[in-house]
Amino acid sequence: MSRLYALLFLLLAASARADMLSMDNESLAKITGQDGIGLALEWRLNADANGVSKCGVSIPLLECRIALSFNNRGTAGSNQEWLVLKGISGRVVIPYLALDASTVTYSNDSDAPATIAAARFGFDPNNPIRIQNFVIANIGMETDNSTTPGYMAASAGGYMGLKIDDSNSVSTVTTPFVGIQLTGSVKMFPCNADHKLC
Amino acid sequence: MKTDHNLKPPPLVAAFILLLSLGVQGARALSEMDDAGMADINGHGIAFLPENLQIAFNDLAYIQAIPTSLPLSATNVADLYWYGVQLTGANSAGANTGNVTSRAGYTTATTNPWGSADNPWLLKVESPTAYLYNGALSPYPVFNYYAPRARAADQFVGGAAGDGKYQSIDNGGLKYSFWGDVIVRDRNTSGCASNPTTCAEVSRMQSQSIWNDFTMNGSRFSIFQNTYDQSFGLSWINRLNSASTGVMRFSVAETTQAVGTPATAAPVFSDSEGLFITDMDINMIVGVQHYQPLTLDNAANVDNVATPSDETRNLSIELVRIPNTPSVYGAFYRNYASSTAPELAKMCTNATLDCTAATHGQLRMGNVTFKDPGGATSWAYTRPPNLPSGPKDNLVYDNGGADTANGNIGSLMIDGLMIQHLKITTTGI
Repeated sequence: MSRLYALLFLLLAASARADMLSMDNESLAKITGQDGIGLALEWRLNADANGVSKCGVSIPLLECRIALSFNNRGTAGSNQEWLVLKGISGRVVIPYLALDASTVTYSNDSDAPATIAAARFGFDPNNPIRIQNFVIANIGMETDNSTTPGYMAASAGGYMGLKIDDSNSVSTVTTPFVGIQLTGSVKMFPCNADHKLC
Repeated sequence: MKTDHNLKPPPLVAAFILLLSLGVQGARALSEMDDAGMADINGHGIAFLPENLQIAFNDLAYIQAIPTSLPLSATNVADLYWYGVQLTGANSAGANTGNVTSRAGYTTATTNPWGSADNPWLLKVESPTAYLYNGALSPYPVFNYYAPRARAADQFVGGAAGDGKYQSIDNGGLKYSFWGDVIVRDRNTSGCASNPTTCAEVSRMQSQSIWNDFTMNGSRFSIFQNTYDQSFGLSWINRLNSASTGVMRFSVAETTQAVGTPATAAPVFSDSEGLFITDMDINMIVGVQHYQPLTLDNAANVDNVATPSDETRNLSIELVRIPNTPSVYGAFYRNYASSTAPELAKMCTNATLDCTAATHGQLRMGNVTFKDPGGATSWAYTRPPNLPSGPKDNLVYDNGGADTANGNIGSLMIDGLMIQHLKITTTGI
């Protein structure tokens, strides 16, 4: 039930914005798809406020890694394989993400319209997403040995790196925009048993 | 239509769906649910409906594939950039001129629904019954991500009825573009081996690519524990089908060159030059559930040869070979002498509604045209002036300026494409 409480809290928070009166269940039931939540997100991974990597500077190189090991690829402590993303750092800023409730209407198995609630994520083209210096310096397969797990292998070697960046600087906004512009929205809803595809 | 795959979603998915379902109920009335109410909510999938979704990198925002080591033998280093990647709504038919950086003549539609509530993107765990790698016929769990389905009801608006196109205003019409910079670097530059992006530039090529009015309808991406070596497995049905008026364009002529590496000023491309491919359809089956997964492994293991220690850092991507097992290759290969429903279902063409049982694909180009920067249609072959007129007259240099039938060097159709085995190994080190 803790999830319900969390939800209750969110809805109360939304209603509290209107005024601070308490509401009964009937009134609460009428609050659907009204003002949602606007979020601003900033995510920095091993990077400073300008996206400049701290890997090998104030953070040891070995700690700037993400490693994946697929099932049945060797034995841990012996020859387990790891796909290691080395020297990973960067900054991602999402200045505006709207989260609110909406509905979708589909034609159900009985060809009758069914309307259900949907979560809606909205983006604002005037607040583009900015990815600064997101770098995976190198990607390589590493293998465990008896002393060192593959993801801690000292080598910085690999076969290629990836980078997402932008030559524009934030302070010199050029046309048409800086960063990555997302427009529109995505609705997410459960595909119920009465949906023709479920 | 209900499909029964004895669905048993893993706990995490079930919990996620439960959470969603609680949210759905809560948003309506915020009342507790009893067990009977919960029982109605089961893990049939999570649907996503993008509405007017557009993604656009600015002209100077880029994705770079960083060379981190010198390639084998005498090959020079490639430094690749994709700038200004855009995925937006298709614009009106035929409007594929202009250039992506100045936006001159380059337009996109603002209304861009991808699917509908009836036909959304769908994340589902399923256990379809099919042949495993060992030849046994068995249900097997797969995590599927479906693009909107190709449906007969979704005939492309404006296209000819029955032209085999499954598109509609409701279901697609996407436009994709980017400009790219390929920089070739000299591997012999002193001291550049440890950081090949510092190797001296030898040459570069900038290009723009635009594909207007295509859909991904009918595509499916799947992940699973594979039945070949019980490791991570992937497969996908790759369907990119143009509207009959859809055009893919690749061009290189610039009126203004880019500045800097990475670019600090974008190039401006010719409005009209390029290679134009109309009505391109790609229907490729990459991997078949459950006997042909795409797997990832250490290159040294796959090649099974003694290699320098650094070689072990390379990745091998393998679409495993069709096993020599009658039940499996019988299911994979098409018996062209037979027209039974299961045999016909092995073919995935631009006109196929459901390709989920297909093992063979199709590549098709309506026609291919070249245009020079002046807007005239030109040929790779120029007719020598002393050649007598005659049958070869169709090989003309058309300077008429219009995109006439003369500009069409032909069309392409490859039917029955299949992949028995494919292996890609990186050789970065």
